[in-house]
Amino acid sequence: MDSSEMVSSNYPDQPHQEQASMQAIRNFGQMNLPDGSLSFHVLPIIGQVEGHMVLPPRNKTTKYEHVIPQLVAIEQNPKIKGLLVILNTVGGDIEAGLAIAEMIKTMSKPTVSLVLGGGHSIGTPIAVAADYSFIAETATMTIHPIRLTGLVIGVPQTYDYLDKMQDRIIRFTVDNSSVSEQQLREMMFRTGELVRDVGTVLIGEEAVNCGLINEIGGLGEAVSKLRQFIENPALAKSNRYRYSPQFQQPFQQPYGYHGFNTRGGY
Amino acid sequence: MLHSIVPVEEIWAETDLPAAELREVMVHGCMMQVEPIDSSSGKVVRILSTDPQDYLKPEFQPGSIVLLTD
Repeated sequence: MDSSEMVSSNYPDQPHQEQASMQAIRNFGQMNLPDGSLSFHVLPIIGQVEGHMVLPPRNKTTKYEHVIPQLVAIEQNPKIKGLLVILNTVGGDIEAGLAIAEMIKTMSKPTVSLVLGGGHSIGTPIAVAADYSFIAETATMTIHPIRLTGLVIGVPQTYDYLDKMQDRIIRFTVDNSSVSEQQLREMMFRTGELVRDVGTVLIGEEAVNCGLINEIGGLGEAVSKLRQFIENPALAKSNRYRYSPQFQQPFQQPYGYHGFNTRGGY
Repeated sequence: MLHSIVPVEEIWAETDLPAAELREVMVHGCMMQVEPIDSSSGKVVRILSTDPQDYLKPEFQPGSIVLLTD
């Protein structure tokens, strides 16, 4: 089977495919399950994104040491034409989350992400890293600042470090979606939305309205968008924000930002 | 450094549980870390191979049971 046949064979309306599955029912009394190795792969980002520290067993985790080689394999395997990233995460390690996001962003194959349930905290850069992003109507994304709970912050350098980590996440999110930096920071430090905390909860449509996510949709929409990209890779590329002029502009602190910046801006 | 909506205290609860004993084994040419179940089988914890395609094999996914052939 050559590669062009592999893409089309996942379509159920293909006449020869139907014939083959009928044959399987007659011969073995069972259906041919769609072969997962054809066409595209699915990467679920579930629970906590685990980083350098192994989290206690009660946490459900996505382990980067496994996800990253999988992304390499998907990029390298000529049989795989695209990647669907499904997110239901509460956030997690910043370095690991950004590493996964960078891998998805720099993949040459079409990528589509779908936020189901939740795509909170460090899940945001992973969701926007794909060429096109969907969010389910009921799914939520929490935008909030990084914080160190239980640690005493005693030196200005700690603020500086937090600030730099925060900027990495903001920069990546702004570069890969159409949300503006000012709006993202405003949402991040908004008061009155979360109980005893700063930040914003975006539900379905709200994530689309602010430009973070491309479209409201579910599994059907995400899969058909990915198939569309696989058939026409130029379409996928046109959705990559890193080619937008916004990316070329120097990174600036917006007017009215009252974060932890102790360096007096860039 | 974590960026999560789950409170840090909750994430790090139960840290004093004993860690499972792990073994490094070669299964069908692929080096992996397993949690032994008995003398002949183990549960995959992580793959240590440098071949990226090993990470896509369904039989090697973490949590699946492999027969220890060595």
